[in-house]
Amino acid sequence: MLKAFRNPRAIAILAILLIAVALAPSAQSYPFGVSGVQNDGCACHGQSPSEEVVPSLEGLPAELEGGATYTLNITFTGGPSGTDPGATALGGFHLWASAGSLAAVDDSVKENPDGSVTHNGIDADDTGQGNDQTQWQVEWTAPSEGGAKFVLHTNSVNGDGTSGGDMYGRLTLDVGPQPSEQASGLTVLATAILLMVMITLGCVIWVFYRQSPDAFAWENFWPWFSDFITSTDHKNVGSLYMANGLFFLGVGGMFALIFRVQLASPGNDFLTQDEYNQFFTMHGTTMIFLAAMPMIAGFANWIVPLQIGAPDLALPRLNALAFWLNPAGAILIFTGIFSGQGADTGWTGYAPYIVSHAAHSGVTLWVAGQILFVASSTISGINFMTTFCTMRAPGMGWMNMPLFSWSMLIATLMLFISIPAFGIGLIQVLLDRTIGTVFYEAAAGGDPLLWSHLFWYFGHPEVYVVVLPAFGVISEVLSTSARRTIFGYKSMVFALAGIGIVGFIVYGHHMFTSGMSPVLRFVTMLTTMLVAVPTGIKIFNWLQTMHGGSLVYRTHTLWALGFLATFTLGGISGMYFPAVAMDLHLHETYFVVAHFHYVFVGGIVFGLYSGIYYWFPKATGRMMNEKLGILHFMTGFISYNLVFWPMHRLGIQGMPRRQHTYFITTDEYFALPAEAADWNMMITIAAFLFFASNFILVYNMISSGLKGQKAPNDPWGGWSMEWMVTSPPPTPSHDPSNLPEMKFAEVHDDGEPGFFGRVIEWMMIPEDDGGEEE
Amino acid sequence: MEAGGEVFWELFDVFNFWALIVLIIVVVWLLYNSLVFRSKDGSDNNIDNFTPGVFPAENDNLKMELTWTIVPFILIVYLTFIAWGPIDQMWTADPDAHEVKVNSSQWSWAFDCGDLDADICEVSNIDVEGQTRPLLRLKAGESYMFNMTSTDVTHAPFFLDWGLKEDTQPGMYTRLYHTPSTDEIGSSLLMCTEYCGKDHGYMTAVVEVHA
Repeated sequence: MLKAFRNPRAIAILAILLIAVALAPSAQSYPFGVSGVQNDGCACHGQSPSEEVVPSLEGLPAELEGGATYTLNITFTGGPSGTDPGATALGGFHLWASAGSLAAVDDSVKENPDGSVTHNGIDADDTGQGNDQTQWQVEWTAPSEGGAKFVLHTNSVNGDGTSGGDMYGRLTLDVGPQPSEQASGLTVLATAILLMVMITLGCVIWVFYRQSPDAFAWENFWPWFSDFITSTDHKNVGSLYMANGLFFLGVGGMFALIFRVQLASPGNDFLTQDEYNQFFTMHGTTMIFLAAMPMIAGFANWIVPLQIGAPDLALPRLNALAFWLNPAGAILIFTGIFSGQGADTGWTGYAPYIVSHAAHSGVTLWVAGQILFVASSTISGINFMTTFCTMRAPGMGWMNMPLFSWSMLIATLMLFISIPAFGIGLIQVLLDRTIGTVFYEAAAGGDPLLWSHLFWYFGHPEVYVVVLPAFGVISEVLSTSARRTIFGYKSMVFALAGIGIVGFIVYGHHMFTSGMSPVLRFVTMLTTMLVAVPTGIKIFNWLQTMHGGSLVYRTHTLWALGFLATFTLGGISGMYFPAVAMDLHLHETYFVVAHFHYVFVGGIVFGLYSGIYYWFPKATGRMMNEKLGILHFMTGFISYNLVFWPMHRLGIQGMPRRQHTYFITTDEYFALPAEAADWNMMITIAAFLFFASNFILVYNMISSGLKGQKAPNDPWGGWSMEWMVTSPPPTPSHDPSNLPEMKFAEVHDDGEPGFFGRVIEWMMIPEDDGGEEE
Repeated sequence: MEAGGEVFWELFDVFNFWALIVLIIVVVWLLYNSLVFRSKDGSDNNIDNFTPGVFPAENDNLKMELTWTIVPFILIVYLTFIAWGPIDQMWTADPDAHEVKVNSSQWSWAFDCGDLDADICEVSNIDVEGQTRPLLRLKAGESYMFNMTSTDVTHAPFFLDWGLKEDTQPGMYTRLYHTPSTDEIGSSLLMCTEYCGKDHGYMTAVVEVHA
């Protein structure tokens, strides 16, 4: 890797990138043209500023006095307008100031809602007094400290009522001390994302180059690349999902880092409130829909067909469609933020705020993007269920499926049943926001709680949809590493199914404070408590699996053991919420944030990291570097706990989430203790460490994928069918004409199918029995 | 003063006790199994004879599995039971409670004491980090019913010192009952805890309880 730095071209590219990064934050946008206030002033007359029109702004002193009021004279010369006082129109202006306040002196000038001023005289009849002049007067009150920037535009018009031949000029003026240029959070982020896109593209090209360094030719690149991205093979789609997931894991992490800088000290103004609100919204949406879900789909795509002995998924083209809806949705979701009006609703997008005028315009795009994710999840749900039902290897009954496959089956089923509710809610919101329906408009009889019900009916099962596959990975990894059959295979499956069923009737615990019916609050309190039982069974079974085994320590084993510790903590802190009396205090505080990050990061991300180290040799045919892996685990595990453990404490002290700042106790009132500022600073620093530690994984994946040691078919000694094929697996993954047959270590009684087995057999399309043609 | 009401801290201590016990069991078990049953020399001892494509021999013990189904279930029932009582206490409507109307809008709180005595309920202003915010003064030992609504979107007042919060919704009324005790004398910051837009983080008020 370091060799690249000796190449002068690589150094030149890096230098250009660094210069771009350094310059980007200073690019500020100021008003352009006389546009934007069509009916209150003049739109741009002409396409670009003309040098013939010379505006001037007089009356500003050399030394500003804070708070003083100055009278400013605006004039211009040049252009088509003459000086004929009888003409219907001579010109117009638009003046904007970055600070202080502008006010009209007489009625030839009008104040705009955004604080700028423009000439009066608005309609075709020209009843106003402002646009048949070439000079105007306005008053400006200076800010109490600091200087200001002025941007003045003047139109010179020919007076025939059309804009043909009209021209305009621009003048920018600085007065008083100017603030030092400050990087805006959004610009930093946009730069970082562009950088990540470039790094990703660089990796793709590097991989292409390394495939055959001697026969490298640019004209081969596109055929190779387009073959890869248009492929419907489950392994390629899985790799695309993984790349998508890891990329957005990085993007979502950067969102978090930027708003952690804002929260590092109380009263900070690194981000504006608007920016901060967009950042935590996009962090949540990105992490759940663009990082966790695609990474899980990536594992499912890669491993499920291999594990159940199928040549591919049942519906490969639908599979590719389900993937490609994701980047499309991602673009929609992010388009808003680059316009400066990204979604600012929180990932939960509570109505009625989401349909109110106060919400940003980017929310519409955010909703539209999520509708694509709903479509994607539904399509892949059909695909996976079909695959599980019809394509298991000969001899593999339901109760012989490896636990990762079982967890994916339950997760897909839950997603497939819950996500339509979310889709309905999203479509209602989209209609409310675009064509003016009133599903959520309280004044018109809309229900303020409907969205919360629809959202959490999906939102809570969604948590299990992402955590169950992680359970599956841990079951595989622990069993293989301990060299023991998983303890209580049947109870593991029943526990998965139990979580799958109970998981649907617990969602009300998100709404204990919402004013929902007390009966529903009470019922969901009981069911939420109940979920702990199947989850406990799984944890104890994992622990018992190691008993009497011979645990081989590898990186994936370490992540699995780390998962057991952190997920137990996350599960235990979850038990505090169903107790309504405690939830009333803890709801919407950092205790909640700590809890679900212990589940999402300590559970899901750790589980998936374990899975990456476990199946990487199978996917690429090369072993990962164990030393780097252990370094990744040590740094990641420690910094992760430093980030999220203190949040429990902050939450109990009453620090609310989703707030731009926090208040420290003063003599006047009681709020957070002063130590909260120190904890927040520590969290921010640890967050940067945690983010950085993940680059070890990325580096390890790239370098091991290129020149790691060659992997055998079954490097860890697992029993499931993915270890039967070569590493990397052939295409199709299992030979369709010679499918593997499940064998059994113990005497296996096929038996007659039970009641449910008969029902399922009855529902299945009968196998081709040879006789029925036309 | 401290955040969270009496009920919260009582339950919190009990839950912490049991959480600690469960955590100790899991961590000790985890460390014991992962250290004692490790492969001492890092070599691969295929104890259960894993072979690709062969479903391995079963490894289970019905008695153990039932134990860790039933024991946690009993613990859950106990925790549910002790969490049950306080709900009754919190949700019981007191017909003689003083009604304080709370109206929320983006991004401010408005309290209305109606015709209550100034000693029992009084609204004035206070400065919170440079912003003028409402100050609600209540009397310890009196029973209050907060009758809350919103004019625009969902908000939620968080009574930090009492450990209570409840959403306010447009087009409907939600209620919150509380009798401040003498331990709760003092003023604390009231924040909005349901995301409501741009100035959500600065939508504050101060609640003062006096003797």
